[in-house]
Amino acid sequence: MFEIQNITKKYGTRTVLDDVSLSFKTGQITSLVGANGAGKSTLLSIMACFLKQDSGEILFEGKNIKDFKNVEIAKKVASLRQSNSYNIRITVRELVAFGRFPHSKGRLKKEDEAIIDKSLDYMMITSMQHKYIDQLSGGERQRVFIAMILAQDTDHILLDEPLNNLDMKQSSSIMKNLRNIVDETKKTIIIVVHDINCASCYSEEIVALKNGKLVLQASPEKFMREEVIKEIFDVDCKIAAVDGNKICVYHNCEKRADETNIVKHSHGCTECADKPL
Amino acid sequence: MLSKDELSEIQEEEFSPKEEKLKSKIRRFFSKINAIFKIITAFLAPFFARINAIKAFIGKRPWLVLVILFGILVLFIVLFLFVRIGDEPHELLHRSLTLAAILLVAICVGYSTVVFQTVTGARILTPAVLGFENIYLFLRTFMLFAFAGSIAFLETNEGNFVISFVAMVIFSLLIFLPLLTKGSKGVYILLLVGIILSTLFASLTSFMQWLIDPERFMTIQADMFASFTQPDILLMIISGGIAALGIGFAPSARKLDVISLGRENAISLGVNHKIAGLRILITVAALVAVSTIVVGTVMFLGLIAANLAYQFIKSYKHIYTIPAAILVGAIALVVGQFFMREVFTININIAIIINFFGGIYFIFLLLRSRKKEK
Repeated sequence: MFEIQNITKKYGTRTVLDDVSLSFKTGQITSLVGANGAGKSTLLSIMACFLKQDSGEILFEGKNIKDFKNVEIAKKVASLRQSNSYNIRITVRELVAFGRFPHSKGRLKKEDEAIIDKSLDYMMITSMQHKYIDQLSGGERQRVFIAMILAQDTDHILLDEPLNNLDMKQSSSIMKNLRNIVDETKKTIIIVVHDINCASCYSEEIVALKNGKLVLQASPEKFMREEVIKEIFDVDCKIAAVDGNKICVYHNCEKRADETNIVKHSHGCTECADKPL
Repeated sequence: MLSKDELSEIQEEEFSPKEEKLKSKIRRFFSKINAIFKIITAFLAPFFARINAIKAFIGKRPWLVLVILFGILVLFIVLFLFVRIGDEPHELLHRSLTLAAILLVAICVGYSTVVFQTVTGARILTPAVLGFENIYLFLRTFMLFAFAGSIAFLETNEGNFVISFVAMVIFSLLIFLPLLTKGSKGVYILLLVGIILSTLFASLTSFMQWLIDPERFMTIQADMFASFTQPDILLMIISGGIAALGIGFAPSARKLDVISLGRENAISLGVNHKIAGLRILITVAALVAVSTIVVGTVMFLGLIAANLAYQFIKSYKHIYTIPAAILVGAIALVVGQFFMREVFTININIAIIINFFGGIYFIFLLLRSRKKEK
């Protein structure tokens, strides 16, 4: 379980995280959202020990994360950063096998191989396991890296924008995979996503940051409201419910908002007044 | 060769019948050549297919590459030791000493280059390109310049070597540790910093040499240019010890494999990246110091050795790439030294030959990496 206490991080004079405190619940998907530069990736990087905070503490299972040994923490938390370089010549299976490194120290036993097989199977990449990484498409490569994280077999998984540059089919299938993992194994996944609808449809909780400050931590049900979205992302939108999922429509919304505005001012009708723009 | 379009264009421009005849002759000539070429390639196709099959076979078995490279090295070592050996009793001993120096340098350069490229994640960077050798020469000159005369220990070659080695480790940690461990700074920034530092230290060195007493200067002058001809046994033993110590400091091959996935992935997999970077830098500093004192500066040797090793060994595993780089480096040096002695007979500097081919290869690598980016 992650607990963030008064984390502050500055890049030069710019404050990226400003005294952020929150705790993440276990056994669910939590989405970190916010506009560009809101500090969500920075927060995740600090939790994954990729970056050092200027002040504040990260507690993991009630203990300061700094007090854990690197290998110990690698058996409990697996993290994947936004873009991964792949300039080494390595096959899919070999890369996924790296996930076993904290447990096996590079000497793979039978049970390690079994877990690797399972992870490959789970991300549906068993058929391409002997291909080289540089022969794959962006979506396939992302699946391979997630399979590596799964092979690490940790209770906590931190993912920084795993859906970057992926098409609809790829990103929805990856999210469905993650959802299944949490439902079946009760793992905890904390994920930075850009797409608010993706956060709404697949996660139990949404954490929103704005200008380095925590704005809201709520369930998608409570989160997906027009005034909340306006506050966090500074866009006008409409919320719709489709099959129990709340969807936010924010494209080409300002125009409609303006039209409503005109109606409201010309008639002063009460119907519009209680509808926030 | 002119293409059909170009030929027809030329025909349209000039219409004299004589030239017309010539053009058609040329065309027939080319078509004949083309036909012959096709027959040859058809004839050779099975051979090419076999070569590809052999390539694929070897590609899956990296150890086989090591065996082949080792065989080639042994062949050239035998040639190097015994070809045209005279009646002089010390000739074999002298040649073996030179050989020992060559192997020591190959180990240092191959090992340090591969681990350095692993931690920087860039295949065009080598410790030499980033100016490690120039820093080392600067420190040696500085020791002589500042302390010689007052401390007798520094006057000896060995004493100077040991002290400058320690200074070298500290110095390279100060400069390169922040660059390597605080996230990815990008290859080109590192390259730029390296070039600036390398030039700066080279200039400082020559400035101090200008001020220094010429007799003292003679002791380090030999270091500046690659030469295997006068190896000093005591120095070789000390430097061999330091090299072994340096290699002992490096992270294990399996850990290096994880580090090659990049800083963040390595951290996520439980590797203390900062400590690993520190250890790699100490290793590199030690090995560069050893290779520079034994042979002098051979700027592009590491680049050739490591990159050819990656090309031969189609695996990311350091347990294969490091020995391969060492073997390639050793082959290049033994062959170079052998041909220098037997073919050119004059005693030209081996660094010149290796830097010539290495420089061309460096440009080739740069161009290829740009092509890949596109």
